[in-house]
Amino acid sequence: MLLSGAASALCYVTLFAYEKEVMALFTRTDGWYPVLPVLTAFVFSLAHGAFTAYFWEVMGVQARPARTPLREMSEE
Amino acid sequence: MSPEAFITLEPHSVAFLLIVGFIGGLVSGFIGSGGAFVLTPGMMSLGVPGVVAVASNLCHKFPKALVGAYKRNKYGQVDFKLGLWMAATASLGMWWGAGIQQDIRARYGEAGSNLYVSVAFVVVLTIVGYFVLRDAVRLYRSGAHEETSRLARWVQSVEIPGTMVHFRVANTRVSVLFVLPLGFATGLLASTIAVGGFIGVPGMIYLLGAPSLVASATELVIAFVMGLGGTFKFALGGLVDIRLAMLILLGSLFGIQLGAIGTTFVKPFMIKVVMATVMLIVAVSRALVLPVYLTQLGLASLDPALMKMLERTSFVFMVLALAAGAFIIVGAMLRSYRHA
Repeated sequence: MLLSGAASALCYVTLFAYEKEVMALFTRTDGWYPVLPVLTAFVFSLAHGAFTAYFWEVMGVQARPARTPLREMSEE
Repeated sequence: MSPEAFITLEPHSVAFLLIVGFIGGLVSGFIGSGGAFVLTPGMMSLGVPGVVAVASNLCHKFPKALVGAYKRNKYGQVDFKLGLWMAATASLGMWWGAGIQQDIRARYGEAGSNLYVSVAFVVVLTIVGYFVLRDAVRLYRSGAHEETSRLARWVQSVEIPGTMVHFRVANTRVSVLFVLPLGFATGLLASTIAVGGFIGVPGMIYLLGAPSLVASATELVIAFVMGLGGTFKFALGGLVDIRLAMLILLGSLFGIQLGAIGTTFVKPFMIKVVMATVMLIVAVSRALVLPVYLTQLGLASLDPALMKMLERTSFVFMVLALAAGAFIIVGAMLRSYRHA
């Protein structure tokens, strides 16, 4: 959790510390620049997604083991 | 668009994006979609140009859907094969829908486009929302388990040689000639009202016979594909505000994890309850602004003060729809947790 939390925090701190530079690069339409927003979204989802998963686990909110099949059988 | 054209982020804007992101994520994790109908107009009310709001919303949508699909796949609820088949034509539907929007805007202006979107909202959400709600109420009252609908049983019985595909997780064998148009309709609706899941999820349940848990989870696969393609298209025009997208994502990933966990706590019909509630309140919200757009087109006459009030009330109803969905999900989780 600490590792993913640090990675997530690093992503967000970098984004907002270099806000002007990031916006200048990410809104360019030439070359490979349009790929930057897509790649960034993937990187953030990896780091922050892992952190949020651990967060709820640490908070004690966990999925309940399956009790029934996905479609419960009718009683007819 | 030059970087100067993008808004300066104020603390209240950041708080708004985080909170709506979280609630939208919670609802998406549970019913497969939601949030965009509040986020896009919400960002516009912060001063974000409409096209940037749409682009930034899409850029948070696909990573959110990715995390949600990964999580719900862990619970065995995602049918990737079904999701990818539907996503193939959903992308075409999105492209076609965007073309229709452009034609309407060119011919009737912004008010005409808004009227078209609002009429689509009201007609689709009222009809589909009513049927989903009726089914949810029936299941709640009778205590019966979810069954395959009569329509889905008929679809499953139609044998078209060379087109039959078995979807293992959804536990249904149907012709792709039914799957592909449903995907197309999902994409068309997504490009019109930003939430294709309002047709995709009920379609998978009532037309293809997928369980509601599988349908809502599989919708995340379709949302991922459409969101990824849409983001790239807008990024080619330099229209994505990555700060807005990542701020929404900050809140929404907390929400989508919780919503996904929530599906393991509640009875399957709760998916339908939440979906119908959100759909019907959103339909009311959009119905409220129809007279405003008719006035702008010169087809009705309303006092400007009344028009402003209707627009504000409509937005409040949008927020209420999302809040009501989140309230039902958290309430159902807490009740289930206490009874455990």
